[in-house]
Amino acid sequence: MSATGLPMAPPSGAVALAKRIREREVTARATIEHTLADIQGRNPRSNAFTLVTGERALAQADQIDGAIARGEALAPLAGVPFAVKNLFDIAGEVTVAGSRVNRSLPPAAADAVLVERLTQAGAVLVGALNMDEYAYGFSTENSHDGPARNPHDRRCIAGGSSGGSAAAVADELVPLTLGTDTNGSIRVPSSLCGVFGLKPTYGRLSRRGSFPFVTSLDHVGPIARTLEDLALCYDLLQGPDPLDPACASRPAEAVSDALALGIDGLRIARLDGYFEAFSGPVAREAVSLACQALNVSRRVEWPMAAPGRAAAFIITGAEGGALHLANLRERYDEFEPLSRDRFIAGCLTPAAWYQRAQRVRAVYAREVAATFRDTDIFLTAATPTTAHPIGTETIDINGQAMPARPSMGVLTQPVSCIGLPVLAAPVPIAGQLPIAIQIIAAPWRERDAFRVAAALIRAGVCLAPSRPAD
Amino acid sequence: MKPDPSAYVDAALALHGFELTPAARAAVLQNFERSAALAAAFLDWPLGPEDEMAPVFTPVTSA
Repeated sequence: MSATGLPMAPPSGAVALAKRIREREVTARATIEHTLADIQGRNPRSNAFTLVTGERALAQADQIDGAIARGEALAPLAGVPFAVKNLFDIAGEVTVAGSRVNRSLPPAAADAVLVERLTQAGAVLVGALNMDEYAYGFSTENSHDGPARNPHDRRCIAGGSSGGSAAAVADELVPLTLGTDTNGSIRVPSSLCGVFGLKPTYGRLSRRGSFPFVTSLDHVGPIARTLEDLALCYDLLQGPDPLDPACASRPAEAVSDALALGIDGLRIARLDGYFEAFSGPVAREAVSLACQALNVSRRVEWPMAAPGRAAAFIITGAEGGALHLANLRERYDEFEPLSRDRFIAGCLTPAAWYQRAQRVRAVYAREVAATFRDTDIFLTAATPTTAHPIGTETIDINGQAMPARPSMGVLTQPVSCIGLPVLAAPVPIAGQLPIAIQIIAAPWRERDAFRVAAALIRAGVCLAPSRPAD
Repeated sequence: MKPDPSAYVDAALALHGFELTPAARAAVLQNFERSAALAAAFLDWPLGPEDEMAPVFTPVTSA
């Protein structure tokens, strides 16, 4: 066991790998060469990567090895490979954001802020990752790059829109990735691929240099296979950015030291009503296992969850559609067939509906805030079901047939709508594909969510399953 | 009577300059109807004039 009481980190994890490099057990170059070879050999099966930045990665690895040889102090993630959803700017590369249209844009002049921060922390960018076009989807069934495949069953979706980000971590190609989450796009693929994902409080992390989707709702965040890796990565990403108007001017509030704290004093409840109604049997079992381990029997219903979700849906269509209006009109044939008509419908949203959705969102945020007076953490499932086969049109949720692509976010959308921090934590269930629970905290209380996730790992409930044998 | 959004969708498509195939127009209409059904969950939600949307606009001063 480690100092936090959590199981020892796997040797391929970011924290463990950084230690091995720091202690000269392995060089940064050998680490990155191994990662690049691994991606080349195994990526065709998951299709997580759409770009490999080998030259840049090896040059940075050599710099790190030089610093080690000179005995210089090393950054905390020195030599650890990471990759980002292909909507993050990478200097010298075109930011495709899962689209064909963007491929005619000039290359990015600089790295996105979060790519720059991880690079400053010593992590080595090895590539960019598959996603739904312009982040509008929950399945990463991308017609331009091909679908991302779930490492636990390659016939199935990886979830989306950060599907490549979750699949690359689940398939152990890299220990850390970055994704974005507007309505569930970190939490849904984390659930379906069985990894840890964090959607921080709205405004916590800088979005500068990431291709936008819905300004009112866009979040960025990390994905990892271990909680220590997720916490360290998140701590290194934090900090204000005066050039991102949506980024709050709050100092960093580290979470890594919170993993050992335990959960004494935290009041935890299970979300009922809307959230139970849209949770299938496996999703409910995952939440029940977590509640049993934490002795949670109290159930709380959030007022306005259904209108809140609807408001997020309308805001998403209106803002996302308007962003791409000119290209949708003039380059329709180049858009993703699975989402372009949904995008155009969004362009047609009456202004009165959009404005009302924003006002309802504000009222809903206040109503939910009241439920935090006697509760610190709410638990619910991250997805209504486990992953379904690629190409599925309709899913069944408790006897109700629902369109597969927009419905996988039915449990995440009401939470991101009001910007609450959420940690998606996988709960392995024998005989089932992966599924995760959402650990939802009050605004700016990411630490509480990390404490609960650590407790669930110690209780043997939460764990990212190993990738299946080749 | 349930409102029929097809006339609105056709007019709004024309306003924005879209020239879609019948199949694409039908798909857009289907998506709009889905949005309209969801919007019904909040369009009549009681709001007072004090229930404003959360503004994030930040005035910019010259450097």
